[in-house]
Amino acid sequence: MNYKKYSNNAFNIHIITTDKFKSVTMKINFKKQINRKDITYRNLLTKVLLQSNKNYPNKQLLEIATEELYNQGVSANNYVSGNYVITSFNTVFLNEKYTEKKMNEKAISFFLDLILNPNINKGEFAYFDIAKRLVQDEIESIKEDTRSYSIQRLSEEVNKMIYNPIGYMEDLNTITNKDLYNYYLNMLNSDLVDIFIIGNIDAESTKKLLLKNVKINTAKKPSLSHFLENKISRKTKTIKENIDIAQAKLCLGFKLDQLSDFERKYVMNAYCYILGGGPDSKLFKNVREKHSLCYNISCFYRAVSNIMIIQAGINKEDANKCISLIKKEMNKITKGNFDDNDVKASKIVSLSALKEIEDYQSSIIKVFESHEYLGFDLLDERSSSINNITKEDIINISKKIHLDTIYLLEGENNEEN
Amino acid sequence: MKKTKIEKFDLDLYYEKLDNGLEVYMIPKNNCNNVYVTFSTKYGSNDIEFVPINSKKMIKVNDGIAHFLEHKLFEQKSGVDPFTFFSENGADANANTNQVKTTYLFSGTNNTIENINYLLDYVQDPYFTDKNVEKEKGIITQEIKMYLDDPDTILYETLLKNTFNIHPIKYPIIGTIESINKITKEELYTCYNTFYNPSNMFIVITGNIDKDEVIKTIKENQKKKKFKTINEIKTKKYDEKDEVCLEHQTIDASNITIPKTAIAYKIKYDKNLYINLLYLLILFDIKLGATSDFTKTMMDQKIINSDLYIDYINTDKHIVITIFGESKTPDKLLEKIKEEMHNLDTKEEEFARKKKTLISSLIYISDNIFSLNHNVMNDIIKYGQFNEDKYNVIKDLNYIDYERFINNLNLNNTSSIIVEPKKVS
Repeated sequence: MNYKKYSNNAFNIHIITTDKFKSVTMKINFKKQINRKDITYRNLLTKVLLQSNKNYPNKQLLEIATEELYNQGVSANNYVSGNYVITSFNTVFLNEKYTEKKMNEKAISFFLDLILNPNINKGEFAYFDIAKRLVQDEIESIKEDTRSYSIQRLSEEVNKMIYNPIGYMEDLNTITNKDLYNYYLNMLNSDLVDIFIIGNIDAESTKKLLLKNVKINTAKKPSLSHFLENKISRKTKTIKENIDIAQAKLCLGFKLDQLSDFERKYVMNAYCYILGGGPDSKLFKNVREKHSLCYNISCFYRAVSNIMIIQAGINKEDANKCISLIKKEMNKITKGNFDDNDVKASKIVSLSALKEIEDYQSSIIKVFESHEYLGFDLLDERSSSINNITKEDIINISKKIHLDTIYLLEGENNEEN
Repeated sequence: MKKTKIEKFDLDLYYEKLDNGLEVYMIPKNNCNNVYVTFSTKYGSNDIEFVPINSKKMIKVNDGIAHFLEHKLFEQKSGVDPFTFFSENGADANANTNQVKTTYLFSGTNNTIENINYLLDYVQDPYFTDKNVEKEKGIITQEIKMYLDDPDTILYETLLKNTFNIHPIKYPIIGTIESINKITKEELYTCYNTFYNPSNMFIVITGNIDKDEVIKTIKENQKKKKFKTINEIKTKKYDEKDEVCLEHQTIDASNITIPKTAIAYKIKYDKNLYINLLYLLILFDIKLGATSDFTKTMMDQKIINSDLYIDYINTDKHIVITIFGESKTPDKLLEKIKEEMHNLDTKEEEFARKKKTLISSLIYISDNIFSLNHNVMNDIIKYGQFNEDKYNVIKDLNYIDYERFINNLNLNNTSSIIVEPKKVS
C-alpha cells in the first residue's frame, strides 16, 4: 500500500495505491465550520445533486448510466464532526482490469459530474421539489428509530453543538431553490475540499485526471480544531420524554475532562471496550446476563464531541436499577477493581481490528481522513501506542468521566406480558 | 479435499465431507488479513414440527425455540464465557438465527486455529439448566420488545403472516413473549440433539488461512467426539396452497409518520430455483426498480419520493417476491404496482443491462470475505451445495428463455399491507 498527498491550495488529493481490490473507491469531502442552518442546506444539496445532472437530466437516466458503468455505486451523506460539518460524496466502481479499457476514467468523470456539473436552469436546480420532500420525510420520521433518536436527543442535551445531521423543518421551510444554488456556489469556493481515492490505479495519471477535471480554484486554509470543548457541570440533568413505544431507551451522557492526546486517541477506546464495548464487557455481563434487564446495552465514545454515551433498551420501571448497576460497574473500574486480562483483551481486540482495517477500502480511507482532520495516527503508530496502554491509564481516565445528563425515552405500553 | 475454481472470482473452493457427516467449505483469500468462520446447522424457526432423534413420533415445539437455543449455547458448564474466550483471542464473535439455519461465527486476524477449535467445542457442548433457561426469558422479552418498536419488522412479519396459510415461515423467528416463556430445558435438549448432529451442519471459512492446517484441525477436533448416527431428520412437510392467507391488511404503528407499504407476489416453482430467481429478480427490477419508467412516473406524480425496495424469500414450493415502499398515498401506490405488473413486456436491451449488473455484483462479492461466506452459506441452504458456476449461468441467460418463462408466469396471488401512523385519539 502506497500513500501520496498532493495539494494545490484549493483542494487536497490523497491517492492510495494497492493491488488488493477488484474495485476502486473514491470519496470527496467538503468541510465547513458549522452553523445550524448549514445542516438543512447540505442535506437538501446532497439530495438534489443525486437526482440528475447536465448529462443525465433525470434520475432514471442517471440510474441507467450507473448500471452501464458496471453497477457503479454512488452516495452522499453529511455528518457533524465537532466544530465542522462535512459533506461526503462516495463512489465505488469495478477496476477496468475486470471490465473494459478506459472505464476507470469514465467512472471518475461520471462521479465528478454529479458534484460539479449540476442540472441548473436559470440559477435553479432541477428536481428541487423532490429533494425537499425527501428531506421533509427524513425530518418527520426522525423518531422511527428510537435508538438513534434517543442518542441524538441525549447528545444535544449534553452539548447543543452536537446537531442532528438531517436538518430542521423551520430551516427547510425558508430555503428557496435560488438560495440553495447560491449556497452550492459558495460551498465550492469556500469549503475545504479533500479527495480520497484508493485502488489498483496509477497515481500519477489519476492525479492528472483529477487536476484537469476538478475545477475548484479558490485557495483556502483551515483554522479551527474539530474538537469540541466541554464545561463540566456538577449537577446531573435528568430528562424524560414520553412516546408510544414498547421499550424504553435509557441513555447516559458523560463529559470528558481534559483528556491528554494519548487518552483521547487510545485509552478512551480501551475504557469503553472494557465497560460496555461488546458481549465480553462489564455492562453486558452484569446488566444483561446477570440481571436480565435488557437485550442490548453498550458504551461508546465520540472523540470529536468529547463525550461518552451508555445506551440500553429496558422496561421503564427498571431505569433506576439499571442506572445504579451502571454506576457500580464504573466505580469498580475507578477503584482498580478489574482484571489485567480485561486490559489485555481490549488491546488484542484493538490490534486485530487494526489489521482488519487494511481489508476494506472505506476503512483505509477513514484512517487517512482522521489523520488529515483530527491528527489521528497512521496504522503503524497506532499499534505501538495500543500496546502501551496500562491498567493505571484506565483507572486514571475513569476519573475524568463525568455524568452530565440522563435521558429516558419512555414507553407507554410496557405492560403486555 | 476437492478443489474447484470459482469462475470470475480468481479464487478456489476447497470442500470435504468428514466421516461424521460435517461438511467443510474453505475459500482461502490470502491477500487480506482477516478470517471469517461460520459454523451452521440447517435448523431455523421453520423447524417446529419434527421427529426427535431416538423417537418415532412427530412433535411440535414452541415458536422461537431455534433462536432461544442459539442464545443458550453461549452458556458453558466450565463457566468460561465464549465471548470472553474470543475477545482474549482478538476475535469478534456472534450468532444469528433465521427461518432455515442457525449460525455461530467469529472473525479475527489472529489465533485462527485456536478459535476454530473453540468454536466447534462450545457449540458442541450444550449446558442448559432450569436457572439459566429462566434467566434468558427476560433478555429475549426485551429483544422482542425492541422489534415491536421497529415499524419495518412489523411490516415484514405481518406480510409473511398474511402470505402463507400453514407454513411456519408465517411466524416470527424470535417467537412471541408468550411462546418463549413456555420453553423448557428439556425441550431445548430435544431440539439440540436432533438438529445439532454434525451430519446436519456445515462450516464455511473465508479469508487468510492455511487450508491444510485448518482441515487437519477440524478433523482432529471431530475425531475426539462421539455423535449418534442419523440417517435423515424427519421434519413436517407442509401442503401450502398457492393462494395467500389474506389479500390485504391495514394496520397502525405508533412511531411512524409516513405510511409504509409492501406487496408480496407468491409464485409456485417446481425446479431450477436459481434460474427462476434470476428471471424473477430481473423482471421485477426492470418493471419496478430504480431504472424503470414506473418509478419515474410515480416520482413525477409525487406518489413516492424514493425507490422501491425489491427482495425475495423462498420455501421448498414458493418464491415470494416482496416489494417495499413509503408513500403518503399508499393505496394508490399499491394499485399502481398491481396495474404495472399486468403488462410484463420488457425490452431485450434492459434484460442485457440487468445481466451486466448481476455479473458485476459477483465481482464485488469476491472482494469481501463476509459477502463471500454468506454467498456460500446461502447456496448450501438453498441448493444443497455451493454453486461455483454462477458466472456462466448468468452469462448464458438468454432473452428467449426468459420471455418463455414470463409468458407462463402466474402473478395472481398477492398479499399487500399498509402500516399507517396511529391516529391520536
